[in-house]
Amino acid sequence: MPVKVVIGKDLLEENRKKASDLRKRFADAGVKVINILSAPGAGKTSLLEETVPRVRKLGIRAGVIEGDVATARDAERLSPLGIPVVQITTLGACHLDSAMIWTALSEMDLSGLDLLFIENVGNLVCPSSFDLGEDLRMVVLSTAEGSDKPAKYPAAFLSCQVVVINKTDLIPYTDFNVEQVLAEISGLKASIKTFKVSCRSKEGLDEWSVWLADWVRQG
Amino acid sequence: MHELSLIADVVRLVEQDAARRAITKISRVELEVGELSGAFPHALKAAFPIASRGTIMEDAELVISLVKADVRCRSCGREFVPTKEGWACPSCGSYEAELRRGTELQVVSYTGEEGECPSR
Repeated sequence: MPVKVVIGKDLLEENRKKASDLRKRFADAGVKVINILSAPGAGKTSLLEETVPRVRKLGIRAGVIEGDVATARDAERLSPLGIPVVQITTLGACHLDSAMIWTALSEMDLSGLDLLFIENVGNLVCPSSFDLGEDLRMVVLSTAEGSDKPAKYPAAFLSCQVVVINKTDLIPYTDFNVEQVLAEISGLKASIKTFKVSCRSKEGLDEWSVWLADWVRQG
Repeated sequence: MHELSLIADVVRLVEQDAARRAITKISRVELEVGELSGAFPHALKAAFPIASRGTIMEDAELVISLVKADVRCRSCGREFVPTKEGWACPSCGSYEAELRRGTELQVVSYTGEEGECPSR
């Protein structure tokens, strides 16, 4: 006799449990955590290179967990900053999950940190489904990608609280429409906080870093 | 993009559950997949024969129901389905949609044959 068994099990349940353990661990250590999502090449690593020294001047000690598919190049780029960096090489996986972060923490001393950045794998689809125990999720969007990213990737934008628009120096050379993008972002979720920066011309980086340092200090 | 690993999780989860119930052959597995889950039904279907090869659900039928995004307005409480044009609340016009459905990745049920365990 065939039997139908109803199990109703969520496939992301394990990830959520581990993420909630992580959240507790971060809170106990007094570390604020940011999960950074973007398409490949939007400038996540460049933004970290610019942000870390600025928040350091404001008294914030930061560390980075780097997620990459194949190389340690981003971690190498960050090494001149002189901060703790742990590389996760996902060997083809398209996102970081909470178990990977848990493992990476065995190489990172949280006690000396106020802020931990998790640079996710460059991908706006899969990472949005995986809670990493972060306090804040941000999307970096670069002007060269076009204006329709928020409408095309609603899951990523709906799940974040901050959007940083990078490469504003390129706007004159692209069809990027800042007003339209800001309207599309707030048209998904009005509470998203947005910043406009350029890691080349340095526009907007101080304002972003001051906001970030204040957010970290809010405790 | 991670459909193969998701399907491998489905196979493992169903195998574990079936082992507890002494089910030895599975003919059908049902999933619910949200349209904002990041997983695509066709890719899940393509991955299933690979992930299930050599298991008790080899040759089983994989049935996927797609769950539409369903949201609730945080301002006025209205429940609605967002359109391609946007996520504004049709009642009060605010953009504070709380996702209620649409991100699920769930193994709903499976159908199997019990083995030689007449006590059940």
